[in-house]
Amino acid sequence: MGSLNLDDIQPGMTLADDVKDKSGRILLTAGQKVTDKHLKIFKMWGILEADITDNKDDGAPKVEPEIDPLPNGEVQKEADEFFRHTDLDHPAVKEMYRLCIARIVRKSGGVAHAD
Amino acid sequence: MLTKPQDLLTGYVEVSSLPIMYSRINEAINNPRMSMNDISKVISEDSGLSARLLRIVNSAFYGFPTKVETISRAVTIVGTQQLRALALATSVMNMFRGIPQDLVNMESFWKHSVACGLAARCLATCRGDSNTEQYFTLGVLHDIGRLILYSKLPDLARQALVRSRTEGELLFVVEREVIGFDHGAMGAALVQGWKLPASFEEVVAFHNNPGGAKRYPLETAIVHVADIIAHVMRLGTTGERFVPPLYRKAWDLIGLPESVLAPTIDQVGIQFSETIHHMFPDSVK
Repeated sequence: MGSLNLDDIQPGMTLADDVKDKSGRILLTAGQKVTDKHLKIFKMWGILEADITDNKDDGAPKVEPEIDPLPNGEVQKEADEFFRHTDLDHPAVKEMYRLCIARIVRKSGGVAHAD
Repeated sequence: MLTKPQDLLTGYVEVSSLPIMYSRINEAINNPRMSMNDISKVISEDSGLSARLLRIVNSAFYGFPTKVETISRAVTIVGTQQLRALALATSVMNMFRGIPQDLVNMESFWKHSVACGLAARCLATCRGDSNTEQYFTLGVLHDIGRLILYSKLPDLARQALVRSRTEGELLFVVEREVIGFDHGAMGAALVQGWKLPASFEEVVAFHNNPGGAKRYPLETAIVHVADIIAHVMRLGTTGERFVPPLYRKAWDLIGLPESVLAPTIDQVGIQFSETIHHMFPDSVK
């Protein structure tokens, strides 16, 4: 499964690699199951992502790929105009575009109310 | 175009130097014979500033478990360099109170600036850099040149705003065409007169084109990306209506993964309203 954002990691998933903080201190070793408490500690130490195993028979809930709020025409048009001077092929810009759309949708009270 | 950034500052005494209080704090911190206690005393002389600093220290900006009641305690916990950076940000924000509001909504201006400062501080923290308050202050000051353009060249500044809007062009690009230089050059000339560390001048000058930063490329890159994050969050604006283009080398230099963006935006969102309220309590609600 590879590297996942901390937000997408669910309790019960298994680490494929050690999780280390900035200075290289090991917080949790490979093969361990992640719990809620671990996630909290990761957050405290500024961990952004961790490697998760593909092992599916360990009872870990399957990770659904993150479902982006489906932007309706209006929202997407607004965001496209807003980002018109940027290079959307760059992975960081792509991520910001996604986050921006999510914020617009959330602010307008969800897709259903956005139009 | 004959105007140079420096010309706009001649005789503009209100902004030509930093508040006397800031230079006194600065002197106290730079003087090796001054103890932490002496430094606290100097800060405490300005009760308005002390109150603002204590409010910031007690806000979500730090999230300390117990309340910090006195400046001397704040100096011990937060540190003198950090407190100086916060004092600078809040002093500057309160310096520009008299600027006419017809071209720019000051509330919106500082909202964008503070969001950029918080994002810069957050990125620096994720990198493990020290004195992250300095990044906060750099972020707060990055568009400061626009305030001079709005107050000293209102007609040209309005032309630039209108052209950016009708032609869908980036404002800092239009500024160069209409005025002859952009708000970065203007801001750099301004902070140069303030005798701040050299990094300020370069970051303010090149935050839109970080390739020009030769001595402080990392600081400039962090504020460049923080500015983009602040735009994406749409919490306010200093005039620009579009997300500025990302300079690839700046992103690479910072060396953080894309996954840093979502938690950064969350963190800025948590700290934003408290911070802006405490830094600028009278005019921004």
